[in-house]
Amino acid sequence: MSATLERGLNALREQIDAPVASFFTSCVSCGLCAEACLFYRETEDPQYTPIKKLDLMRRMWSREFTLLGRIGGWLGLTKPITDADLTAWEPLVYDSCTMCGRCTLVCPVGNDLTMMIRKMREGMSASGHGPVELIGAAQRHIDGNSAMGDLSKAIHAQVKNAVADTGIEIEFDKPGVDYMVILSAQEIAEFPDVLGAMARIFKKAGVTWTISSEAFEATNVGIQIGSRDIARTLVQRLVDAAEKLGVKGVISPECGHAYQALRWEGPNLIGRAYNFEVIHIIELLDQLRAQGKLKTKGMNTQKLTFHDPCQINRRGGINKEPRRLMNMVAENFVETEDAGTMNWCCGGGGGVGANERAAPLRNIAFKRKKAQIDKVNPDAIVTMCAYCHHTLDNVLEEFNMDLEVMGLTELVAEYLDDDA
Amino acid sequence: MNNPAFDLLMWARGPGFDIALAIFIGGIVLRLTEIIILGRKKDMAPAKGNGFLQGLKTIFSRSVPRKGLIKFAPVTYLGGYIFHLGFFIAFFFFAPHIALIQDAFGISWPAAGRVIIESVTALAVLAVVALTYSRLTDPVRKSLTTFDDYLVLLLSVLPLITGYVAVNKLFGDPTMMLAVHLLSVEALMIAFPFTKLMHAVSFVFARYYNGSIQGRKGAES
Repeated sequence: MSATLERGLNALREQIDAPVASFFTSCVSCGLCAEACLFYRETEDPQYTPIKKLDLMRRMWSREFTLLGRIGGWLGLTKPITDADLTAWEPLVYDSCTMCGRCTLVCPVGNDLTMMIRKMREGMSASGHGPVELIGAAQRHIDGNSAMGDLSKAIHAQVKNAVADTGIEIEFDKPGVDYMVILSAQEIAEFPDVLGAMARIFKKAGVTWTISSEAFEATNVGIQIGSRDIARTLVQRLVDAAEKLGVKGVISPECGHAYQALRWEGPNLIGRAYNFEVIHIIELLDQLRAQGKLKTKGMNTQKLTFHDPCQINRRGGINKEPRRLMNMVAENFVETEDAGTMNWCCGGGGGVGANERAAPLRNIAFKRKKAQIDKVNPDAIVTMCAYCHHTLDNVLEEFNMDLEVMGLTELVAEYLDDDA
Repeated sequence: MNNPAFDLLMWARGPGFDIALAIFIGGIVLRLTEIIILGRKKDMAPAKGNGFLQGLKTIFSRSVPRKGLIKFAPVTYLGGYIFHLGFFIAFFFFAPHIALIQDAFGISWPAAGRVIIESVTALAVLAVVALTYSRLTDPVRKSLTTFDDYLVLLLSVLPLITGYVAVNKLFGDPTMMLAVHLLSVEALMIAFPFTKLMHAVSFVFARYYNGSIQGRKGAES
């Protein structure tokens, strides 16, 4: 056995806990998870059945963690996992799963398949398997300050622009303020308007904030590729920066996996609770709304629909907040079928969007999302994840659909009542 | 008395049942120990919702399918419901079964009428036939199905069929058929902990974990 294979199998072994054992024990191979999966639904290829993507992990559990499986192993009835197995499973685990979490909500025995994919990726990446783009992004982020490379010049330039646009001062590294704002690389590079939007909303609401020049990037490729070590390093940077500044909280930006990484996985990765709270920007805006600190004037009259990012709603629990904000500013807000908890994924999550090898499959899978949008036929789509925004922009263009996509924070800021 | 059918019935009712029960209970304890012993790490992220309560709720709520999904796998959903309900009604509400339970544990409840018991038994058998057919033909089910799945279907349907035959004295010696019925139940009990039949116990854990993981985040399950 090679050293990398052994490392991978050890990493996978470490992931097997009581929930995993109860899930594999309970699976009756009914196949209902397939119906929940956008990759199966659009291709009708049985290999994309979610539980099949976990077969190597199931084999390891059965062989090593059950008495009958152990006996089977001694008798040579079952085979250990080989490097060839891992290679064969790599496209299933990385290319055809966005970790959207629909299967987890559909499984009749209650298996959290998505959590198991997250765990299986730990074994894959430790054994040297994973899309090259994610490996590259991880390296760039570990060596520098962002998965996209060095974004420190970019963030300073974008802040300068936002200050010029809004006339509101934005200070870097200011200790003792309410919040430290972090952004996803996608926002810095593609949707910087969110900075000005936050500046205006927070000024009006009396919220003080800053950006750390040491840690401003929210994305965490570690939880996509499945490397606790990388994920921990990236979370630790944000925690160190926030604790150094002594802020009350860190605002998790409009980015799905960043919220998952910092809010839910982070404390478990670094092994302790933080000395600050983590709040998603949309949660904060909804709080300010409830406190009467966020007032809007006028409404958007276009037919708007809302796209729920999987990691923020289905796997993050932020469901009603964006809808309350939408109803503040959208006169003609129409929900899609399956909106909310069972919304269909944009197809770009879980690292699939960055994975070039997965592009043809991703475009097929997008047809599910397209069908959902087509049924409502909106003028524009609002979302609360910059990567969903980016994916929707790109694929809509590919399908020749002339639809605007907007970030919810920017939309709210557009109708901010400056006189209130 | 030299009646092999009677001797077999007595064995199935006595030592046979005791052996099966010991394996059934011992096996379940072993399998649950295999799960629980692995434990899970304490979640250090501050909770947004109550994971414990949502875990408990999910044990029940997951029995209801998500809206709009039945039409994508009608045989699996409907066959699954009909089989499970039929099996449980026949098992728990057939008067002779209740009498056995009363003998053993001293508790009893009202029985269902013969027509109901026989109808649900027949429906449950048909459901198993449909589920087996879907495992043989539907590409997703076919790709997932292993020997274990067919064994489980066979072991689940045999008590229904043999019970129906014995009660209605359809063929064979009634004493022998009753013995065969009991033996089929014992086969089911012995296989239970070591096959996918075990889901009938472990699903409680799986659904609880699922609900508690989601619930802590304030997310639905």
